[in-house]
Amino acid sequence: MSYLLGRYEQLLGGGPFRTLEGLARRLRGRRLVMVNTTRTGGGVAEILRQVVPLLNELGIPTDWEIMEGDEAFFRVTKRIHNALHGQPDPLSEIDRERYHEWTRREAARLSLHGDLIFIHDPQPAALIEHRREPGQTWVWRCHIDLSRRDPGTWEFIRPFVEQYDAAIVSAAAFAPPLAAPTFLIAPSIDPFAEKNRELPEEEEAAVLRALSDGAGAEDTPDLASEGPWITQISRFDRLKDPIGVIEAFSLVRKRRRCKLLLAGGSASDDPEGAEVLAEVRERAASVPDVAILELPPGSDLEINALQRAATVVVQKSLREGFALTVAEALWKRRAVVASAVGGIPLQVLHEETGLLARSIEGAAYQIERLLDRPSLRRELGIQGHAHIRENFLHPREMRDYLAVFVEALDRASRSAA
Amino acid sequence: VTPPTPFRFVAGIALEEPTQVLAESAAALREVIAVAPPAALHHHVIRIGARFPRSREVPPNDFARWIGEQLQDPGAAERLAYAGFGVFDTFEELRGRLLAALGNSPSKREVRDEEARFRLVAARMVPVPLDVEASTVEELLDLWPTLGHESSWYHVVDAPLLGHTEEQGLIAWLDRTGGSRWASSAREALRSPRAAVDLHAELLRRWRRSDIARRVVERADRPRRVDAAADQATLTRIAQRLHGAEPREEA
Repeated sequence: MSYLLGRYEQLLGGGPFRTLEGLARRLRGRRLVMVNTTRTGGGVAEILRQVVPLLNELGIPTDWEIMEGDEAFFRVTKRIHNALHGQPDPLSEIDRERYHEWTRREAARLSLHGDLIFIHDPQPAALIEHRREPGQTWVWRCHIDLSRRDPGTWEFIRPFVEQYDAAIVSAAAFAPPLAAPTFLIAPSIDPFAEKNRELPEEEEAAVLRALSDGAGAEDTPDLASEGPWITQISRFDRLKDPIGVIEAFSLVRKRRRCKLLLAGGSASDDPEGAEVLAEVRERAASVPDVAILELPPGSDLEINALQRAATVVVQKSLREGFALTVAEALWKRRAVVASAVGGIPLQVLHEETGLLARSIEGAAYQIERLLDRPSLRRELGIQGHAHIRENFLHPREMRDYLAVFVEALDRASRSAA
Repeated sequence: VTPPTPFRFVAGIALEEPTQVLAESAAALREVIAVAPPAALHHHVIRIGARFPRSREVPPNDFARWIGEQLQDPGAAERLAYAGFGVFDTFEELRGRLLAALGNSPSKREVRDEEARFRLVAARMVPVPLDVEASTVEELLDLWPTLGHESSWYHVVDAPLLGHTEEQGLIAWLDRTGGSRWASSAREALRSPRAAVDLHAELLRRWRRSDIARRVVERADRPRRVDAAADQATLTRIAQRLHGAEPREEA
């Protein structure tokens, strides 16, 4: 058993590993290529950073290719992303041409010489038109909540997706009708990553002190000693509703002594981040005890410490793919208040592993409940940790991905026979 | 005498496949259940224990939970939950019980929110050979703790109901291999709803109990000097640990 897999075996027991080894035997001799558009920032890059080495250790040679693009291309793909999330923003002919032009350019550059090609999200979806080779199996993995997809934008993407051997979404409500088999697979987290590993108290305090000192502003709070902290850690993105979090906090703050921390950064493929951050700063200026922290890419240890220091972790998103920040907080046995959107209800089983809210007032109510009841926080934290351990760690996601390829290969050989 | 065929273990991975079939009321759910493919009944009812493998109590099936949570009809939810408990020889038997639980004229009250509608999902099973096999029931007992609950659940619950090849039904293999007492014990364990981890452990507990007589006979047949040597070795190891010395390498 190699190093990375060995650590998981200690955590989960041997059973899951016999299954992974069995899948690897079924796929022996095949090369896998993962493709997305960023190596840093966002949940997809985070999953791939961990899963790619694990797959290689398992004996399935796996490469990770990054589709590149200029700012204009990423503006188009951001609009596609938002429209598929339910914020219609029609694409012009120029936008469509820009998407096709970069796809053609990247199709010529990328190394897609595997047997199993795994494409993440809509940005690289059209590569299949240019690069599919005989004998390859192509799978499209969509991390976005497609339940409110804008029909016009979806009709632009759908013809590419229809060419895949299988599609994967995170929840039943996200699944569009497709001719290809579509499967539901939830994403997962790495419990040993800097962002999730156990932190000794002294180390946590040191990281928090360094963050407070590094923030520079005179009114920067002492993250290590002040609190209790209500914390949301997310990209500064309208769909994460940071303004809604401030509104909920302002209701709580009228009756309870507590502080709000909004921490996050902008992914390299998200040009809206700076704009949203300015809006958040403006709203926060009129509410006491709100701290805003911009985190540079790679602030995994800092995020770990901030989540552990939180009394309540909030994820008040308006739309979500899956919301890995929720899984991270639950893994750290934190009490979580989150919106019932996207994949969050799969993680937060209401009153069992966390609390769900559907409005600003609802979020404020659940935050207050948790601030008042340490025993409830503790109980939810324990249950939440167990739930993530069983269902949302990397070996389970890898297992399901490999099973999709095995199923697609079996299907192909049945049709050939 | 023909030696028994070895039992080859596989893990059953259930890929969840959305069907695009929705229900917004109990009446619509009844129509959905009436025509749902077996793979969907399998996912929503039979595999609950595998989908929530560590729960202390197995949650009610998805139909029951949806009627209870979204339509706020606890009576219908209880009836559906009860209909889904137990062992089924066929999916048609299960379907009949679910439809009977909903009655002939279920409520037409609808959920308003689109996200709250019931979504029918089917389980597509992918059996993965594990390269592990048992030739005798005794070997099975030794191997069982090293297997995952995905394997035990598949062999005991999924494969027989799905009509997968006969070799993949563990209880039938036990019957064929002279382990009929073990097979009965497994059938008994399946009568109560259990989460997969609990079922895996319960089967081991039961089989170990069934195996006590064999082990007593085996021990009685062993020459006394073998036991005495083993006891002496154990005492030596304990004494060395108590004195802080490293245990000696066995010759």
